[in-house]
Amino acid sequence: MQEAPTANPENSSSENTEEYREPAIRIKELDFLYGNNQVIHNVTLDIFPKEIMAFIGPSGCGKSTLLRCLNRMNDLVEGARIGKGSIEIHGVDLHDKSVDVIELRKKVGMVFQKSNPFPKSIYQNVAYGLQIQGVKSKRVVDQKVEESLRKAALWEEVKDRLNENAYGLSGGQQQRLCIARTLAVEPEIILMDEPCSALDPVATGRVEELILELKNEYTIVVVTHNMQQAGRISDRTAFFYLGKLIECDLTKKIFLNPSKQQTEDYISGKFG
Amino acid sequence: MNSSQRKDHWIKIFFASNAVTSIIILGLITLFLFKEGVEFFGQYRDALERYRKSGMEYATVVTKQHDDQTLLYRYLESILSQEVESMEGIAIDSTKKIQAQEKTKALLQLTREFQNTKEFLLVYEKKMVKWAAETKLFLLTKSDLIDVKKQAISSDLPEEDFSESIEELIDRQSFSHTELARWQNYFIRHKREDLAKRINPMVGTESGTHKTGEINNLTSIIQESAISQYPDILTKQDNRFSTILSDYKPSFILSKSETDFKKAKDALSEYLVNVPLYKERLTTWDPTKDYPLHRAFSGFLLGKDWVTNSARQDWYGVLPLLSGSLLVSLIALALAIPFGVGSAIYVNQVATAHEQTFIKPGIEFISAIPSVLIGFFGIAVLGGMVNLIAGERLNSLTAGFLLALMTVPTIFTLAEDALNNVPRALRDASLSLGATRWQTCARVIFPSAITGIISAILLGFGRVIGETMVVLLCAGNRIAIPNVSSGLGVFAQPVHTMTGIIAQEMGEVEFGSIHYRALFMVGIALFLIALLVNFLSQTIAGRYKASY
Repeated sequence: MQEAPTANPENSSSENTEEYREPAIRIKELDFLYGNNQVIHNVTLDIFPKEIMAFIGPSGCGKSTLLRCLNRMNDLVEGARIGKGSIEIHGVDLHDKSVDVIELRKKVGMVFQKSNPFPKSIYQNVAYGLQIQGVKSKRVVDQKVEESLRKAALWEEVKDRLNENAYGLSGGQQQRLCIARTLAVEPEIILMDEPCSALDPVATGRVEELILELKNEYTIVVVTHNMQQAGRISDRTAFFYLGKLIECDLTKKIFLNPSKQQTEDYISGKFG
Repeated sequence: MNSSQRKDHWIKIFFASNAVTSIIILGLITLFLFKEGVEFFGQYRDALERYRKSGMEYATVVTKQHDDQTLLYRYLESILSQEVESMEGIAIDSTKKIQAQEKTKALLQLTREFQNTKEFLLVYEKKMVKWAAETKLFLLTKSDLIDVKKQAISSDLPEEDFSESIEELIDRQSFSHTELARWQNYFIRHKREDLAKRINPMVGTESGTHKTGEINNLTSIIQESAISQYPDILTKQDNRFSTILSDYKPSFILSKSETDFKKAKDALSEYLVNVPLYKERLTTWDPTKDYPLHRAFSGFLLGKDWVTNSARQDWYGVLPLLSGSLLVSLIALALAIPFGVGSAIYVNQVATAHEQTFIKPGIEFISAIPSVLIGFFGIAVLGGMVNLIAGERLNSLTAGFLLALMTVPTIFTLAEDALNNVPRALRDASLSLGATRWQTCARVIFPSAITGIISAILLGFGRVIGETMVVLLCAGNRIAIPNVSSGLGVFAQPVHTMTGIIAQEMGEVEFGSIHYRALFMVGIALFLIALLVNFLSQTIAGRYKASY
């Protein structure tokens, strides 16, 4: 906290404050509703390229909903809609008519709370994203599968059993497989919805290591319940409460010297 | 034990007894089915043995040979009639007419000669059938008498005028009608109407017995004639056939008749090739040869005929019924699978919540329609449409259509469940990778649900094969194995089914008869099929559940 300058999220996004960076995701005054039930209230937030942004907050605070807005997974929920405001990725409004949601999801990958490999072989799981895009060449697919599994730090463990069913892997391996599956589509941004909540501490450690490595290439948004985890891996942290963004700042600052009382109460465990 | 514990105890007993009762009832049904059915094989074997011992088997082969000859005769007859018809166009008294008349006269002569020759065998055949029928009655009477005698002994009736021992009865080669009447009276006197009923003092008189006033075992006479008379008849016939044909100078008015006549000649030579086979079979016929039990098994399982109330011999072969049931089921499933699975996919993947609220109950309502009403619909409406395609109102196609309608709800509901059971997370994962809804459905959801869908289809099959009313009303009820050689027409032939035959005949059969037991055997076969289908679908469904 000592070294971090006090600043608003816009200019504290990087340790290097002199350089202005175009945000990868820009959320502007967003209201979001399920039917008549408003779950997100006037959220404004920028997420910068190649940073890890953590969303924290008690259950039902809207952090997962906001995450699912970023690749329009909420489209699948009946009655879900944007009240006002917008989400832009590289300056393009996600809800613009010209946006192809399929292309969007290729660009914005997602890793889910519970590992959800397909009931197929390990190889097929990773190759799936390429195959639906119509990539036929076995060589290209093979190469991409290996590359993605290496990036997900899983290659050494599974290279001899690529054709076995993915359900044979351990929970942590399955989650890394899901990450590899996402990487194979070459996204720019990866959304992670409590990726370690179903894992034991050892597996969690490995996935966290992986997330930190991926930061070099990808913009990552992580929703987590685990505040230590947010502290360990994220550059910046956004705290949500009852659908409102209470505070967003450098992680160290949020944890050591939050500017809002609510944030401090939550982090110190007074509620949650 | 306090009062609340006691109450718990009784509630527990109540529910446990419900569960146990249903299992016991299932067990009893199974036991009863098998108990009633299993005696069939013994009875059927006895019946078939009687069929052989009585000479009816022999007579039937003779009939078959005669039928072959009749077929040849029909050829000639049809040529004759087309020739006669063609003459009508020719002017009277013209030379052409006179020539034509001569030609037809010669042909008529040939046809008559042929018929007369055929008659040798016909006369012989009629005699054999009559003798065999009497022998069969005799054997039946004898086994009944032995049976009632045994019962008389076991219930300690005095001997009086039914003093013959069982050994004596077995050795008898004839019974006189007076004797039979006396024995019947004997049982009536002793208040055993149930046994008296089994003795018919006039047995055989309707068809005329070999010797008046008695009924005889004529097996030895039949066997004797098979060795002495039959070969003579054949030789005589063969000679006549070849002479009348060589005497005849084929010359016809119509060129078509010429080719027809060639065909007839070919058929005749084919028949003549078969003659030695008949001769072989008939002269080596042995009424004393045993009829093994496994022949009764194979006769049931592989028998191609289901003939009941026949004057000669009843046949209980399950094959025509089984094939009919399978054919109808095949048609029904071929239609119901795409509709059922298709609507399940639509409702599960595409339909809005509003659409779901009326599609699902709508389809499920079909299963609430009483099947007899669906049968009405089939006869009244669908039959007419099938008539346009197949030229027949009621056949396997009509029944297949209706059964498909009835199975769609089963397949739909279960397939929809299977699709629903695919974890949402898999769909989300696929969509988040940039897959379209259809790609997700085809590559992730459908493959994940496939075992559940297969088990839905199997249960649909179980539903179809067990359905009775619709097939009874609409399948056409002709007992025959569908003729595969008719190409696509095989799907539009009247058939009878296993369920249909039970429903149709069970009400009329005599309790405990072979026919009654044969119907139970059909029921057992049906039961086993249902068991197998259920077992398969549960195994498959179990594997499906294990994968998540």
